[in-house]
Amino acid sequence: MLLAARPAAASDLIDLNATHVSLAVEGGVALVTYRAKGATRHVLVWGAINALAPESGKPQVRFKHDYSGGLTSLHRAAWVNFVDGCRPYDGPELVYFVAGCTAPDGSYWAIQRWQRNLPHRGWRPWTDWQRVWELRLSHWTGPLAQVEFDADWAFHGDAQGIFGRLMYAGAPVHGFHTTSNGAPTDTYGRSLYIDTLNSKYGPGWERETSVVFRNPTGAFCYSFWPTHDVSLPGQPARPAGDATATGSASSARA
Amino acid sequence: MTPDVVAETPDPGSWEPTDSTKVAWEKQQLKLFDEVTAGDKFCATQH
Repeated sequence: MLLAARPAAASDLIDLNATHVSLAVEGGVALVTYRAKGATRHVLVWGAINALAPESGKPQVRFKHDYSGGLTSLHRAAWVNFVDGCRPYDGPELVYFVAGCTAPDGSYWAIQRWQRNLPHRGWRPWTDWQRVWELRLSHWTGPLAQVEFDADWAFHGDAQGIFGRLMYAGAPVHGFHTTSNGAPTDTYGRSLYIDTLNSKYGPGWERETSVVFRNPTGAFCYSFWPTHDVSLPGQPARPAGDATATGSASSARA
Repeated sequence: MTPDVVAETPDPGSWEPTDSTKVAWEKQQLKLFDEVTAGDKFCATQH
């Protein structure tokens, strides 16, 4: 089994189930063009780069958006005469990459698309919300955030475990508050989406769960146990997607 | 607004206390666990 860790919300959600995506940049403004819900959209995005450390005492950086293509913010259809000054993307390799470019100032813009809301425990999605593909935009300079991710055995070998932390610019990444289910409620919080490959859930990648990077260490730790989560189908119990299947692995997204 | 990133690790298989290779690897991983999660009260209970 392979395990994957996929941290999220470092980037910015633009839209859902978008196709025919393109990216252009003029000055410090990006133009994201795509099709969604049967229409072509032209979205201007600006006003944020990189991320602040949680201890900065300032609000986390956030993009501003104009989903009218300029009519709202500039009182004109700026997308029509938008002059793209971006060069081909030459930044670090990105997962879920859809489009990207290198701006004249050397900063990078990128669009990624992935399914963040998949149900836990390897269940197939049964709602539209669970199935959606999120289109996410980022703008940065310098190195990416780093997910440190390792496996072990927990509780004297009774369960497989994974652990690690999320670091950015040499500092731990974490929020300050969560819901009772562990979802971040402030702009600094970041979640980790844990997937398993060829596990008890079946062939391919399947979502095990999501957890939050912890305050103040940016660490996470998780062990694979059967669940009795009443929000999931198939009660009373669901096995964990641990590594007893052969040739499998785990992944984490952040 | 930084990109979403991914990390992967192979699973360790089943624990076998009589397998000296696995015992040594687990000792190494426990040390790494303590380093990475140092100061975290919850993770300290998850060995």
